[in-house]
Amino acid sequence: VSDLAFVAAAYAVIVGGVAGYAWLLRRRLRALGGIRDAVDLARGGLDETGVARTER
Amino acid sequence: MTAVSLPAARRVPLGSGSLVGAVLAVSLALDAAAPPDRVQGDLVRIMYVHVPSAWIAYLAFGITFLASLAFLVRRRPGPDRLAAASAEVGLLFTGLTLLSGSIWGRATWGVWWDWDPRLTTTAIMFVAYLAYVLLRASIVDRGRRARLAAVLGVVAFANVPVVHFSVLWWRGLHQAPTVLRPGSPSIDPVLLVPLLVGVAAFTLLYAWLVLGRIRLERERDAVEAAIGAAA
Repeated sequence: VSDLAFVAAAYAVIVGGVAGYAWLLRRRLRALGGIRDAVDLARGGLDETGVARTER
Repeated sequence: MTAVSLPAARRVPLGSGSLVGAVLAVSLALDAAAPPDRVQGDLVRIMYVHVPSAWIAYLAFGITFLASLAFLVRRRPGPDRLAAASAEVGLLFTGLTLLSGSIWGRATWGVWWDWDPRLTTTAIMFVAYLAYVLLRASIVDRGRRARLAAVLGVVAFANVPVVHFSVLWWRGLHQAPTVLRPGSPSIDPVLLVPLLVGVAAFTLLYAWLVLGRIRLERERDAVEAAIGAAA
């Protein structure tokens, strides 16, 4: 295996790791937003336009 | 029946990452343009991502230590959120340091892993902060979670200086420090410049990720408060 292949592997690990973490962070934020909306909906019900009354 | 469009479908940005991306691109370009090392050849380029990753791990756990202390003194949610965010990002970069170091080790030492003092203490640091993250994930009560995590955040930091000084205190395969050492850096300026730019770029990346992670903690607190109010 050439030196540059080892270098490429190390860079791929770093870039992939950071990109994967940022993607996971976005998914977790979206999931929590969904739970919060569902709780708001359950607490306040819907207004006449079909949107949760407690929506931020 | 009225169709309900929940705002959950909205976009969840982590803020503009364009500045972070631009600085990282400049850093990677400098890495590619830097000359090969006389002994290690092109393998020295691994240093430009391996060392900044390790620096971010130190920085992140230092911030977790200070934020944990601040929480224990003031009992406010802000420092707790910062400690949680920084520990998780630090854990990520410790893992990346171990993986990139393993690749470098295979290329230069001929082995993926060795029970060298630096590698061993770094692995212990990884396990300690993995325990921190798991502890936070396993406790439902917010106050108890913050208290216990703050104590662990302070205790776990004791290993961080050991990681840094392990190469001076014990004999091993890992080289001694060339930048953060007594006296001036022993590394050639031609290699030092891209390394320092890499450190700056990774520090910016760390700040961006921590801000996003703090937002997640804030959102989680809001969800827990909303569920508590609805119960």
